[in-house]
Amino acid sequence: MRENATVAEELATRSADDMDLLLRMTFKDENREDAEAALAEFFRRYQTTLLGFAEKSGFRALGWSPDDFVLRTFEKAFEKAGLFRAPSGLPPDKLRLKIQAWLFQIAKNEFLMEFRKPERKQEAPTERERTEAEGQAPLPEKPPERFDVQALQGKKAAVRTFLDALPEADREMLVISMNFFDFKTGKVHLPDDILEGLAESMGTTPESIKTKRGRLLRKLEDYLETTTTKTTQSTKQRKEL
Amino acid sequence: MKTHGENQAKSGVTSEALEGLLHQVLREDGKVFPVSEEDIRNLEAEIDPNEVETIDPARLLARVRREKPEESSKVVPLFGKTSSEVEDELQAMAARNGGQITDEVRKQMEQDRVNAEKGLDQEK
Repeated sequence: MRENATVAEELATRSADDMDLLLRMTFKDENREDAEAALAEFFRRYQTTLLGFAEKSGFRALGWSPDDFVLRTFEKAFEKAGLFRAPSGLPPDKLRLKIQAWLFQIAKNEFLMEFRKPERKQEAPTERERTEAEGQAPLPEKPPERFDVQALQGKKAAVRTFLDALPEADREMLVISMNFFDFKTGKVHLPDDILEGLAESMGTTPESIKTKRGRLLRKLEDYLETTTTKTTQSTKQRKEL
Repeated sequence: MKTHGENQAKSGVTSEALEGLLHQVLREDGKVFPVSEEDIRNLEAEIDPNEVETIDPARLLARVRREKPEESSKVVPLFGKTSSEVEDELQAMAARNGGQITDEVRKQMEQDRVNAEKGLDQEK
């Protein structure tokens, strides 16, 4: 990648560990060429998961390019490389997870900023957003558990069938809104400015999103009820036979 | 139309549990932002690297260097620098939709030019 790099330098970058690459990226003002070589290698190692996620998560429905989303995330990571923190002596697979978690926090921050109104984009991000993006609030090993979801574990397949059968625009709207799920309340909370940004991106109104979302959740509930009834009936019939 | 409350009473599923379940399924399928390291592991397992069309790191470097987008740099003149005479002729051809001028039309044009020049001389 470096125009004047020797083969030995290229090989050294390819075999450098992740922390070494991040460290070299922090020295971008002192040795720009070396920092960029480290960034290129870091990008090669970590772009796949983010790209795969951006493709799956329905960003195209918002008119966003998955490539642009991923490039913006790594651009920010280059700026903030010095803020990445990890305990020393972490095994490589653990370190890899920490780095991915950090990248996803930056990505989520970019996702939120995309919905902000143009005038708000110029403002500093909120304390929570900044903290998340700077990696000071690492992701937990396991997601918080909600006891009332445990009883519904057998219904996951039905949820997937329901989602697959939805018109694409409805599915994408429902999926994107679920990024605002709050574990404390067990519900989605869309701040007004985000809701307006989302409505604008989808060519509709905030009210329409709220109404459609509510209707889709009721449909999902009906569908789960129907599938449960059918399963109970067929189990009963099998037992009778 | 049924209200959500009526549905809740019928199915016994709270709206919190319903949204929680939906969020869990979407996380497991890698469709919403991961909230834990476990989600990231699931996401990595879900993605087939061979199916992802990766981005050339040169595009990222161009962005961090604040270079112009690739599209604009790809626009280069096809024939290098052209003289104004050639450009005028190309514009005239474009105006004729690329058509050639017949001898008859050319004679008429020359006659018009001579007449126009005569007119200019008389004005002087």
